[in-house]
Amino acid sequence: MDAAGGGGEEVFVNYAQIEEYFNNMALEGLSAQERMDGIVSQITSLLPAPFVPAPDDDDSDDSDDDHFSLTSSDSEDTAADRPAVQDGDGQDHISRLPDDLLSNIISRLPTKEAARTTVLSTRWRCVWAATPLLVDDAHLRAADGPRHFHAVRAVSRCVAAHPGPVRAVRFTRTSFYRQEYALERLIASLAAKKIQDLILFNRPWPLDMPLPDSILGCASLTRLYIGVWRWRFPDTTALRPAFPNLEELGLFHSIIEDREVDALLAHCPKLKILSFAKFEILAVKVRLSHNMEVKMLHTLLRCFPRLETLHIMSIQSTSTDGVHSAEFWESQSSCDCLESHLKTLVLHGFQGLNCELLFLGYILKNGKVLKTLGMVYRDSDDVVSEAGRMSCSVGEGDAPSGGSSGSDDVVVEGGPVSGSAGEGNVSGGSTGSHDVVMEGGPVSGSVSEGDAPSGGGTGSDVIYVCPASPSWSFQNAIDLSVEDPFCVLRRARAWRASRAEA
Amino acid sequence: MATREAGKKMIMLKSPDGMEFEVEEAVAMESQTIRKMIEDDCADTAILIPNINSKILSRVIEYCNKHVPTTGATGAAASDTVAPAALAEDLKIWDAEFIKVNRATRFNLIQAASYLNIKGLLDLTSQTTIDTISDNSLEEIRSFLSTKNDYLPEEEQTIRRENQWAFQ
Repeated sequence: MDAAGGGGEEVFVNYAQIEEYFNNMALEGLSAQERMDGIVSQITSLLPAPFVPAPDDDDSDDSDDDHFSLTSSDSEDTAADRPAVQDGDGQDHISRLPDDLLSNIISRLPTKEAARTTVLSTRWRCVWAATPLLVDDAHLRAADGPRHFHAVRAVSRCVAAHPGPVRAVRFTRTSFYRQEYALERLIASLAAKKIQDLILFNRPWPLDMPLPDSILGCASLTRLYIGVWRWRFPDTTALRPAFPNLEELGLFHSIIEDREVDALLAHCPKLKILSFAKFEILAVKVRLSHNMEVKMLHTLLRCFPRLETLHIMSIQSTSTDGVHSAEFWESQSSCDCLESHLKTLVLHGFQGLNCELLFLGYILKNGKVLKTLGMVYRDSDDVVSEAGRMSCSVGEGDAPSGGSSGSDDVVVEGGPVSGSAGEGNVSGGSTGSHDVVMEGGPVSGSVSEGDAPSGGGTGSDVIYVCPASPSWSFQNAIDLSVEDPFCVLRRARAWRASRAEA
Repeated sequence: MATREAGKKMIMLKSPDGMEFEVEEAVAMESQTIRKMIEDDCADTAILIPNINSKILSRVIEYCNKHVPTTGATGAAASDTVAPAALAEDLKIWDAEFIKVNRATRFNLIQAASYLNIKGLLDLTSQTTIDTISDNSLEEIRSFLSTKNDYLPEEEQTIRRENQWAFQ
């Protein structure tokens, strides 16, 4: 049994593969939420292994009351036939084993079964109480059924029932949405019981739930893994470090700003292992004309602060509320990935819609390290005609409305402007602080070759604008030898957008 | 101390019932307890293993022989050509056969593994006990563990109530 595999048939050995799997799901038309749900079980398989494998890794099957019942002594008459139980020779072997060996046995049982040993005899009850508690939410969900299961309450009851210290608590199957208060209280009680090992993985959504502050009271922690949280680590220099014993720290998909990481690390003097798991490539299928989806896209960008490559697959939509979209993108501040990591943006299914240009404008305005911009038309057979339409709109001066330019002048120096879809984007994407001149170069030629041209501006240096060849084939996507399976940027034929020499 | 083969240092282990077992040092050092004795130079002569009779000790040595990492071209040289995964699978099958013993022997093996500090054997014996008591009712587990129920009926009810979350 794959300890935390979650029943998926795919097996991943590293984070890069999960990232790719996640992005491949975009090809199947799944929403971002469905995709996040789909990979959580894979990500949790990268977490430290559970002390005791879950009784049943299949979420849908919750009938574990059928085995190791410990609840009835008369319902299983036939069970006496089992040979393992029958080889007794009447001697009291188990009482010869010292407490620490019984403890060792108890600590190998799933959380509930371990607690059930308390009814075996007074001795077992004492041994259970003396055995540091191990709680795994995967062991607890049963009778109530997954839908109505209240994991935080169940774990809290379990912790309250045990008198001794808590060795480890592992949450990998729980969404903490609307359980903030219960979780805050639980973590406070874990802190009081000297918890050593905590894995707190928030089953999305939402993606940016605040991690309870009571976590700072868990000074006994030696290992901490958190997943899918917003951790606002206080920027204070306390006299004593919050985590004086912490040796291993994992931050999975959590939003924590760089300065907060600095502050956090200052509180972990004994830290030996630090692991970040973050996406560097993300593919999103989105209707840029939908307000809700646009907001989700922005949230996603905030949730992937180390994002280096972003693929947007633009879906056509009947309803257009681009006016709101304009207000939205103009009002949004930048985010970490745009500030320091996002180097490549590829827009698939580009139709030249206003909402697409607004989004491009936002990215180009804030993308401080953006180097490459790629475009793939909605239908590659359609490229030329699409491009033609686009160029018309550029010629008519429509596209610049998409440009959310702040206060700077943008000069579009388009030699062969006509027939250049790329130019439209250039004006659509303006810069925050620099004057940029786009040199049209071989744009029209590129269009006639059937490539999807594009343009871009930047706040720094040079952006390479590449015609991108649409390579949304599953074969490509799973070919590990392809650096970015979603797109092959034809750098050879890229042309340059260079800064004006005044 | 004897030397059976060139390069293979041998260690003598003695059980309290007077049996002596000559084993390779590497095999004996599967036990962290014995390893410590050897490293601390306490193993010049035969090492007496208290509380573990010859029957159990021979089984423990059998386990260590199988699980000692194979090196060089002698003995289990076949492992050089077998993939690690296949080797692990082979060990698993061997373990499953090895642990098919009556429960008295198994409890003795748990104790021996604990005293000699052989993690793999302790894991195997404890886990097998867990696996055996899973799927059985309370009375069967009491019977299997030879544990007498020393609760009064009302006491047992109270404990069930206190830990109701575990019995749901």
